[in-house]
Amino acid sequence: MTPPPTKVVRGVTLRADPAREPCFQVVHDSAQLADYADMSDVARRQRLHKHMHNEMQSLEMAAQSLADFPDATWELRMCLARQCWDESRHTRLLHGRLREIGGRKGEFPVMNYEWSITCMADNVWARLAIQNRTFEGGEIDLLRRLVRMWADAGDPRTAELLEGILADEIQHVRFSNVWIKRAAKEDPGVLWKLASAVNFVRAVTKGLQPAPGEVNAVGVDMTGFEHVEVLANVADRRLAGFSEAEIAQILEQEDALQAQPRRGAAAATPGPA
Amino acid sequence: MRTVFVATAGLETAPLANGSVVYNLKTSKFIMLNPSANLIWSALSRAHSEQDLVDLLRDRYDGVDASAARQAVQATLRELQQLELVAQREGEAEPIEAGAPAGVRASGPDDGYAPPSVKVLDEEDLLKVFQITAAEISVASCWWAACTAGCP
Repeated sequence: MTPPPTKVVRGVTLRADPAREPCFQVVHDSAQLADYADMSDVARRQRLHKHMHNEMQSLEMAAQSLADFPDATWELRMCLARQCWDESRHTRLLHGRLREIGGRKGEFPVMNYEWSITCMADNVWARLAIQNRTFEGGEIDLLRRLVRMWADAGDPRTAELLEGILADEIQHVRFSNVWIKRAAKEDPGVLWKLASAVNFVRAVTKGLQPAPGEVNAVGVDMTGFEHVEVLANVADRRLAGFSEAEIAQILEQEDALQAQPRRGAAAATPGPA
Repeated sequence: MRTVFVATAGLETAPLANGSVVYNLKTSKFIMLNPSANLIWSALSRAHSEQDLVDLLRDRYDGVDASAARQAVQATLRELQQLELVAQREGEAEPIEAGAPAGVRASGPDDGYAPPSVKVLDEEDLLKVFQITAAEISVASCWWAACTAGCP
């Protein structure tokens, strides 16, 4: 694989951004995002816009793996190709819903966070470990929460849409688990590629962490909340092929995070609705 | 000339919040080291005597007596040699690096001493260790807009 073009954000080297239509304003740092802390009308549009763009990145990451690793097993490539189809469908669904509530493509700045991390990996196992097992594994946890959040906010239509996306994401995590575990039986080095990839994500996450009190483009304190409320979606992680031991470990890590001293209560300064 | 110990070539190490995992490509084994074992292991990127390592352990962890430290170092070196991570030879020891050796996390004052532990991981153990929660990912940027209060 040819070394990819890169960019440097807060001292961290990441994959350069994929192409975007002119309507999008691409930013490189979460401080430049206009993410809101509430469920006001503008915040709803921004949340759907962000989710839509995340699905776009998911499509691009899976497609880039197909392009970068032509020698991967055909059946694995078929899984990636099917994932491309799923992610493109998710993007269209979210775009449609965004338009229904009065939003438009390019209304908010976007950041290619997952793409920039995942596509630094130079082998398919690391890509699966980062995109599918880590990011989409986390998305399984998040989506279960988001479904409830939108339903509670009086928007069952968006909640239902997200429930459908969740079902697909479980399959994306599942096929990565199946393939990684299958390949590791023949070559334990696959597991080392996974371990190195996960440590890369940890290092990037640490490097990109905002400084205390740092606010984003709409004045929201980015360190005012600990994010520990997003907990493992055990039932769906089980469906996605995580073992009981892996799930128990994730729960243990969450307990440890929750036990840490909090940086402070939620410090939202919501922007204009 | 005295007996010194040094890490064998061709090994890879992945740091953890508490310790590290070493991959021996030759034996295809993954070995997890707790913080005190990792302290010893990290020092062995250069040749050191048993005494150097005992001093290092006692220097890092207050309250570990000389006899316990020696026993711990001897047991750890034995295990690391059995796993082909460390070789023994006659030669000159190199100076211990000032501060923590490369790859060893700076520890806080409340990090207590636990005797060195060297554990061979199977596939499931390894997969278990290398996972990240959604909350951890969100530290860099509230990630998929999942929070409802105080969080973008």
